[in-house]
Amino acid sequence: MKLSLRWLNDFVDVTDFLREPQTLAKHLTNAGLEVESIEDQAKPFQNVLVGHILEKGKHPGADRLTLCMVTTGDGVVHQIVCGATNHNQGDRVVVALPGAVLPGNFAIKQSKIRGVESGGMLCSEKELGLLSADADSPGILILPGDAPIGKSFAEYRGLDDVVMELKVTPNRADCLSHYGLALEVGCLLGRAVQKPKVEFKPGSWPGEVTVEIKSTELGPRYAGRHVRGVKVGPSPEWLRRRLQSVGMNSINNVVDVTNYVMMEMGQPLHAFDIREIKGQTIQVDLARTGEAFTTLAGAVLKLDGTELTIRDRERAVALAGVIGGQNSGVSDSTTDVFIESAYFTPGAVRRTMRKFGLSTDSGYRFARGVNPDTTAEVLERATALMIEVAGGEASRERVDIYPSPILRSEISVNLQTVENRLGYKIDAADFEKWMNRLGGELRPTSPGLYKFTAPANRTDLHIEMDLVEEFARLNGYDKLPESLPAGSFSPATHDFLALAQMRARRLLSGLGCVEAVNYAFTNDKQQSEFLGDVSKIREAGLFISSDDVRIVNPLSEDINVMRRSIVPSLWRNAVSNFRSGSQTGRLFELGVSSHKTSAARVERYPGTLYGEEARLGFCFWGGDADLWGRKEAPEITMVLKGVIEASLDLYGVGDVKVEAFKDGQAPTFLHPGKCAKIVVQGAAVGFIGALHPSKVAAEKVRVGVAVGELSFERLMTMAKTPYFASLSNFPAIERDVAFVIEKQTAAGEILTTLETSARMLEAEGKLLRDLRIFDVFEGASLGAGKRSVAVRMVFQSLEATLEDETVNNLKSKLVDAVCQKLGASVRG
Amino acid sequence: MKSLNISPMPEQNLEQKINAIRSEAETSFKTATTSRDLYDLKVKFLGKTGSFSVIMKDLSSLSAAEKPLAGKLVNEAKQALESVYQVCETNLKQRELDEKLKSETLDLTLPGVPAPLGAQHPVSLVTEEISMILSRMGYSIRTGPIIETDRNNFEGLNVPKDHPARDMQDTFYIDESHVLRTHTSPIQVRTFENEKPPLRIAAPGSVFRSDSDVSHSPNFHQIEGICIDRNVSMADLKGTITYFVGEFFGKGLKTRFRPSFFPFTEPSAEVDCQCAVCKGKGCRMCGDSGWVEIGGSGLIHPNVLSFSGLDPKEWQGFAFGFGIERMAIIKYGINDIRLFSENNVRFLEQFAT
Repeated sequence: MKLSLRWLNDFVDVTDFLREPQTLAKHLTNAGLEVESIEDQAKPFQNVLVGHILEKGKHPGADRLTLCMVTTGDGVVHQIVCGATNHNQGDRVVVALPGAVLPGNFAIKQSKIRGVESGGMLCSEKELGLLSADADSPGILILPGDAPIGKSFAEYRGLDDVVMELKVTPNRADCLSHYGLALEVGCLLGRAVQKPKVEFKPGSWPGEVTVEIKSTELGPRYAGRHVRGVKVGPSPEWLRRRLQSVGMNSINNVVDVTNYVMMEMGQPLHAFDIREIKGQTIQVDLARTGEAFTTLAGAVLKLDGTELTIRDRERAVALAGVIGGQNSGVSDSTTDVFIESAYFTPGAVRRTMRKFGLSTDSGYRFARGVNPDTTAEVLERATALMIEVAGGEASRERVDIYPSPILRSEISVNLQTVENRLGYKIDAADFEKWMNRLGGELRPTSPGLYKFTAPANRTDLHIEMDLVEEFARLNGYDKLPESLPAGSFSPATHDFLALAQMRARRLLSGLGCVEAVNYAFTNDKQQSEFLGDVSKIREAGLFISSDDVRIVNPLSEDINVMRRSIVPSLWRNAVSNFRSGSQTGRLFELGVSSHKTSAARVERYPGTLYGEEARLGFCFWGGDADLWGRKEAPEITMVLKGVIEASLDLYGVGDVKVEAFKDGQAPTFLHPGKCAKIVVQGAAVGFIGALHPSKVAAEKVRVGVAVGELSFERLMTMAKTPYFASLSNFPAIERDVAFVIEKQTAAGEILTTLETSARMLEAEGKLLRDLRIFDVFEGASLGAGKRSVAVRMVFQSLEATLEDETVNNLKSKLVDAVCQKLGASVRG
Repeated sequence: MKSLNISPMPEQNLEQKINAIRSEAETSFKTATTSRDLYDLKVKFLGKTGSFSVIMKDLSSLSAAEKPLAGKLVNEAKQALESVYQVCETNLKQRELDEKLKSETLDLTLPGVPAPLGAQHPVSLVTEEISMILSRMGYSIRTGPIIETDRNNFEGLNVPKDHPARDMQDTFYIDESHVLRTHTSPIQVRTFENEKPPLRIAAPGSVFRSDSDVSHSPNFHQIEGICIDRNVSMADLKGTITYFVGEFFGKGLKTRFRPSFFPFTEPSAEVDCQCAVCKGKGCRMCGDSGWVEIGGSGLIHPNVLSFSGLDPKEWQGFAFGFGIERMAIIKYGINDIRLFSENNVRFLEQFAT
């Protein structure tokens, strides 16, 4: 909302703030009406003065130019070269002296034009920004002969206005007009507020338009008046200027009056050309289903019968409260006008605006709630102003239909409650002062108890808490003391997911991973292209829906669906990092995969038809070859595997294995030969693998890339609290065995077989305390298609020092099992 | 001591002989230059076939009365030499070690074997830090889904359909009845339905607005604190926020409330705190005002309490919410909102924990 202080000054004296608008802005901001900016409209007119042409001569070097001697009253004669021809010696003109900066950032400087010094400029209305740049200009502006020489032009023309941009919160519909703001300023500062004057003499003829409200629920009140004999034309300058100062364009005098009174009183108005109102009847009724309607702005809308419309005998002539129709608007030839002032319910107007994506000053005000009590009063004001600027005569009576007036109820308020909610002692006199200044009626019923009837413009005041807030803001939030809640309560536990994620972040950042946080939405095509056949992702134990969860109104197509997997965004991050020079990186993200829920799926958050699974995703790229002799970086997928293993171990999730995908079942974005499912406690919980080389190559990333995604939701329920295991005091005995197996046999099979066999040996098997692969070797000596996997077994007893024989016996049983099951042989 | 006369060696008595060997050995021990030489000398004099062993063999010819005395002399000499040896050996070994270490150097100005550096995203760092401060004040963390029902996101928070306050939050719709949550407040609606007051909860999360420009991201983060109790006041709210600001930005910073409007609170207040960078003096961060806006707050609107079945006459509450990115910008001086979603590792690594 733009507030002109000159305009405001019509209703409440704010002349003292014209020089110090910051002070008024502070009052308004502290009362909840945030002033976002202050524009001093006189600023473009600094060094622009009323001048007097002493002499007009010819420019010695150019026929088209004149050379003028001009005074601005201080005794100095300014020599100014001028390109216009409409001025004469003795004229009062507008002079921009060096230092002035005219609209359009046009700086006036002392200069030489065709070899002649020129110390300023004689201005046209266009150059002063008083006419639009494409308007015809008759030359420089010639002022009346009584214009005082030397006076600031802004002051002379009343252009020294200050305009504030106010952020009016949705509850304060009453502050969307100058008169409304005058009431607020009057209340805040205790100043008298005057209503605008209404003076006109109605004619003796009856109005010709009849009105009927068919939908009283959506349109409770409708008033209007017939004005005949108006002469449509340009508005007077003061009116145009005021509209301009609050950011509105002047259209013609009739339309300008409706806009002016709306900005003044907050009541939207509309002017119909009566000739176009068929049957001269107006109905407030719902649209007809399927009806077409063309707005004043030229948009063609198809109505479905739920919109509230203003209708003549045949058709819709306006979308009630939103915008008029092209079929009945005021044109240059209009002579008879019907001015509408009505009250439509906020919901009805808002629904229509939202449905058609329309946003108008009128709709904005109705949707927030205009004052239903002043509908007719504002109509009078508009009628008076219309006759003033467009001539014509008003019908004898106005139409005003208001079958069931909206009543305001009394609000009971207890001073004790106000004190309790604000937390400080309140003087009853202070409370009464502010409630009275609000303009309502305060009726004490017993000490500390009141009944309050809110003023009609404050449609937002209904309950006691509304008055608590009113008192708090008017009395000043700076009066609030500080304390801490005194009540006792039993602290509850934290949300499990939030805690689990905090721990995971610590662990992963401690293990050298960098946390990414991506948007929860992405582009549909990119996502689908990346993920490919999603049933293969389900193979890895990750729930994923076949279809995207789509945003109905995306800001752009870049972000039109929710993420189903978090790996694609991490890959985008890796690409942009690589391009900006990070040759290596280890990103992880705790995000969610969104999906439509099915009855079979139990969701963490009940009540919605959509669900989300907490996920942990990774993207590692590059590798660390460094000066410490590791000239060749390890395979990045194995680096990622190491981090996943370590983090799960630290997290307390035991029994982690990887398992190869069945042929052709691996997610299509992974390297088919370098990927696996991650299996925890027997269940697949995600995947790991090298990103498919074609994807890597397509982005010209020249290092290895590994990705992984795990169901964090499942992992966090698998974590176990540590439980103490006895430590042995007896020596541990190590035995190394190198197994030669077929190259395609997974090395993990050896460990699994050893573990299984040990378990089957029960007590004896328990002596096997630890197992790990420490060397892998391939070479011609092993034979084609073979490789050697060296395993270190550690044996230890809790009860005794182990005999060599015991260890050797157990070892050979275990080794035999591997040889039998996997067809392995023992090397060397 | 009485001198002995050992017959096979008439020209020199035994005692003299022992003393002679002893002094020869002592001198050679002390002049040895390497521990290896010293050891060889030890073998020469004290070893199995060394000088003293030879003498001991000769003792066999002595009388039974003389033998103990002679043995005693030999042992005394050997013991004395042994301790001389120890001293010389210690000295030599120390000297040798010193020499050896002099030739071994390590240039510690070279980089260490790299251990990869990890880091948390500033959004999660700030979220966790705020969560922990609130946790110390008894607030329990609660979470909710990012796709929410219209009911939980709006209606339960006193924003019925067609209410102008809906325009305050540009909303992404998923369907007629689901939205991407526009704030973390639906978490309170969920909590009120499952838990009984008095309660204090902290609700962090990712939120969405269909609004994007240099200072607005369509997906950002918030955290809010909610306290429901009997007789809760605006003063309690202000005191709580001032305490929080002291913990998060540093003690001694003042807070200030400005009246505002949120449909789910009444009275409502915008919260400013003194700029943590300039301590209120005025700087670029705060646009020379000395104050920065950190969030919104207010007493929970009676309609919100009633919606969730809490009687506003018995229970009141306050709520306050902060934008996580905003807090990170103020705390870490981050100057571009886009950095939060680009995930540039050179940015993220600055927040190594």
